[in-house]
Parts: sequence; C-alpha cells; structure tokens
Amino acid sequence: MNDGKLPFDSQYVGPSTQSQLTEPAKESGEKKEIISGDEMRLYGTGKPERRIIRAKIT
Amino acid sequence: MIPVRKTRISRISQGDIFRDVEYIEYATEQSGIIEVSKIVFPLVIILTQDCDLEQDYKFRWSRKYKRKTEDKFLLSVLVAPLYNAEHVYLGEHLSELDMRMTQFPKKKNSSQLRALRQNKNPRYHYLEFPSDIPIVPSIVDFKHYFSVNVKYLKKLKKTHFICCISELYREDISQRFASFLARIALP
Repeated sequence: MNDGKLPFDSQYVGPSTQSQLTEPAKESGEKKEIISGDEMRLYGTGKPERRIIRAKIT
Repeated sequence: MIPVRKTRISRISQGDIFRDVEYIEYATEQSGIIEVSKIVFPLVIILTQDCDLEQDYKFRWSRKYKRKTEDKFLLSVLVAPLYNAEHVYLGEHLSELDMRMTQFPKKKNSSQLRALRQNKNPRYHYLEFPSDIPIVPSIVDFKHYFSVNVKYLKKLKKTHFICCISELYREDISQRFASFLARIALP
C-alpha cells in the first residue's frame, strides 16, 4: 500500500515533487473567479532555468 | 497593448498565460538512480485550439456530459514561452540554459527592432500588457513551442494563471503561430 511516501530516497527535490498526473476531483461545471490584486508581483522578469532531480529507487 | 481577461475560469483556455511552467527535458533510470531534467519557464501562453480545450474539459471533468469514449481527450497542450523583451533584445533570455541567442541592434529605431515590435518577424510575437497586469513587455518565440500534460496544467490553473488574452488577439497569435509552423523554406 502506498502510505503517501515517495517510492525512492530523494537526494534533491525541486519545487514540484508531487505527481503531475494526480487527478483533481471531478467538477460539475466551469467556475469563475476574479483574480484579486493580492499577487501584484511583476512576472516575466526572470529567465528559464534548468533543474535536475536525482533520486535513488529503494 | 493587448486587452486581457483577468477572470479565471476552471478550464484551460487558448490565450491563457501561466507562470512557472515546467518542461521535462528527459527522465532516465540507470542502476536504480532516476534523473529528471526539467526547464522551468517563467511564462507560457496556451496555443492549443480553444474548442479542443473546451471539449477535453467537458468530457474529462464535467458531470453533465456522460461519455461513452475518451475520444475528445487531449494528451497534451501546446504552449510557447514568453521571454522578457529586454532579455531578447540582448540575446540573453536563455543564458541560464547556456544558450546564446541573436542580439537585436540597440538603436531604438532600428528596422529589426521595429519589425519585432510590430509583429512583422514571423518567429516572434511582441506583447505589451495593460498596466494592471503585472507582466513585463514580453516576446513569444514560436520556435520554442512545447507540449505540457493536460492534467498538470489543469492543476496549475488555480495558482499559476495570470490572465487570458482576449479573443481577437489570441486568434491573431494562433494564426501567426500556425503560419510560422507551416512555413515553407523556398530556395
């Protein structure tokens, strides 16, 4: 049984360790939400970066 | 300047702009060691046709539509990166990936720079956002398009969506992208 632990010993874990394929709950229809000004950071100032993750399967 | 929609809807739409989207370069396994290399793009724009995205959403997630097949499912979503225009002018926008790119002349009125900003260079699409959208002037590079898993993007939507380019302008981007992709190299 998967008790929520990763099936390997992670040596370096980047910002997104969760599975990219995890399915969210079904939704009945499109929901609309107004984005507030809470995150008025300036986006797009940075550059693309490479991140390498190595992990040992246990 | 392009008009945008700040309202976030649940589904992914053509013209959506997301921040911090990961592109998996490769994943290997050798002697029990898994190595995954990914590039994190600060901004990307969704290029997949909106009707395809709408159908994928309806048939994958909505309870209203009882499906008999998964015929309308997408496997991935096509996106292209937005680069900081100032970095592009200097040819330095991929310096963190150890890639040098062509520089544009520094003179403000140079014909190359003007062509870039007026979207007359087929490879690029220049975007300036309204003042209430916190995105610097950016350039879409159609040559650098890539695909992203549809479920991954759906999951990102809530936290990484910034805005959606309004219909007419996203159609323009889509049409220019299609034209670039289908270009014919003549001798």
